[in-house]
Amino acid sequence: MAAHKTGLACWLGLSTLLWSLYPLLFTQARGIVMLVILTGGLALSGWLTGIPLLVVGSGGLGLLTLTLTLVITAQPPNLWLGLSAGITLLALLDGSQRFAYLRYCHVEPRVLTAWLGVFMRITGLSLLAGIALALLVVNLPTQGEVASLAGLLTIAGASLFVAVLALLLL
Amino acid sequence: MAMQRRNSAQNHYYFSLLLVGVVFSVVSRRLEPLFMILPLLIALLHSRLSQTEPRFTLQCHLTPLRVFEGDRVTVHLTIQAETALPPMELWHLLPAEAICAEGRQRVLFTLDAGEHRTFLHEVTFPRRGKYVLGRLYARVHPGTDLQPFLAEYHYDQLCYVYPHVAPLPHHLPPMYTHASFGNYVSRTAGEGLEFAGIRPYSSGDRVRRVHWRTSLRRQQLYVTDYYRERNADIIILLDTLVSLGSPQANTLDVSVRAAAALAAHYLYHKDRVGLIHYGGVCTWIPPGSGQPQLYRLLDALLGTQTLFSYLTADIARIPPRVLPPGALIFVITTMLDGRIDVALHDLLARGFQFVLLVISPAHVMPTAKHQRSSEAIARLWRLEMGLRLQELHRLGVPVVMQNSGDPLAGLYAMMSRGSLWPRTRQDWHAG
Repeated sequence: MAAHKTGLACWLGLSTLLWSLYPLLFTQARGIVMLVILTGGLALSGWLTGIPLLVVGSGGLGLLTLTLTLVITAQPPNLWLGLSAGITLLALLDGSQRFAYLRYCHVEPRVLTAWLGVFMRITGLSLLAGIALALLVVNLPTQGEVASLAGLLTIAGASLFVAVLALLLL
Repeated sequence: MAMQRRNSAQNHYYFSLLLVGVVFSVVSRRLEPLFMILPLLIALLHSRLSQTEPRFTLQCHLTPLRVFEGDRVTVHLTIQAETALPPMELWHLLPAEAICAEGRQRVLFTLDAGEHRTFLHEVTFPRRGKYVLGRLYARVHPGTDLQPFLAEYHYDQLCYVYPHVAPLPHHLPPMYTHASFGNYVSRTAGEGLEFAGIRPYSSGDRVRRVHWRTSLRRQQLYVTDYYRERNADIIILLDTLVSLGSPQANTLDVSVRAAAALAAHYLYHKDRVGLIHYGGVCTWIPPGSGQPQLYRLLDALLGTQTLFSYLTADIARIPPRVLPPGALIFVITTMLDGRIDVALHDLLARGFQFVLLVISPAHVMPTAKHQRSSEAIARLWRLEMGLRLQELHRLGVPVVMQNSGDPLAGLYAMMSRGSLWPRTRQDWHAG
């Protein structure tokens, strides 16, 4: 049990560190550093105290910081960065929830394997979806001769968004 | 029981971040925020698409269902999976007073189809009462934790937690006994087991009492004499007028534990023990002997509580079969309500022999910030009680005031002396 707890704590600590340090890859401006520290602090206090709202707050703040950094530094579009940051965010949110179980429950060893399996499956699916989306985004401006395709794709995208929204509200 | 699918709180958090990502992407006109929330979107979709409801059977077995304070109740949770079970959380909801002494009442596990597992945990109760155990909550997480299956199971079983019975090291013999089977030996011969002597046969003696070895040696019939057996009536009068302290530690619980210890001790010595709850209105259990009587008394003590009342119960209203003449009465009280004085004077006026056990609130009240203050409070209480009990002392009533955590500790000293009662009243009233 103690080994599981240590292992999961290391995993969660690494996710927190990665998630908060992303913006520092592009700039070390004082304001950004402050936001990075705040993001890391929120995540750490969230998973240590078992308050999920703090981890979610850290997620929101991290999103803001990274977007702000990319806008300020005017980086060229980097979809891999977005995808890797997203997977780290998922690891942080999911890991903090799992860590809460270790605090209150007796967790059997096979459960950790099942959790890791689910995480790997979602990561794989996310990569596939990300690649598909990236291909779509890259190829969309080159469809000049078929002008109606862009419109159709927009309609399909909007329909997909509405369907997802409906699914989530069920 | 069918399981229900519910959105967890995590679900709403993911959804909020999803919206935040979309807004940031639109405002900043960059694609990265959209890609950052993509894994969250996949996780949400994944939770919606894995819809297979797991099937399993669950059993909850508790043993034993009658325990004393501090004893352990073992809970067996057995689960048989019909289909493969993804991570499943099983939670045995315990009453607020219960403590999980060993094992965990909340387990998270996975099972293959057809597999079965038994989880054990032990529960203790620091306070007497009737507690319902066996309320279970199951939560199955297919995939992510975002939309788990929930179910509630009620294998309700009532667990009786009796007050702790402390063994008494000495025995305080009552002044009056009566002819019955028991542990007290009369000075006169009669029916019993204790050997008294051998005497020549006289007309009317039973043949089974003939002492054949002596008769053959002396060539004349001799019979064996036995001492007559006797027992006593013990009544425990429990003052339930006032209780001081917190729900975890209060004077009533201390009184109840003392009453249980006395009842068990005298029943073990084959005396007849009865119980009177003195709480404005009297309720009672007539004296009886044996193990069933012990459980009858413990059951009554289990539900003992203070009930607010303006009434003053009259001892005269208690029927003689409940308060038999010559009974030894243990009055367990805090002396905080003046109505108990009426009862004590009534008992004295009727010539009952009683021992007064005064429970001190100083041992259950929260400790003061300074040690000196606590000591001063305890001393003041003792002085006040000393003044109030002076008259009873003068009349020769044994009074035991609680000086330590064990309210009967003062009684042990009296018991070990053996002669509690005035010398002139010590002799047994033999028949």
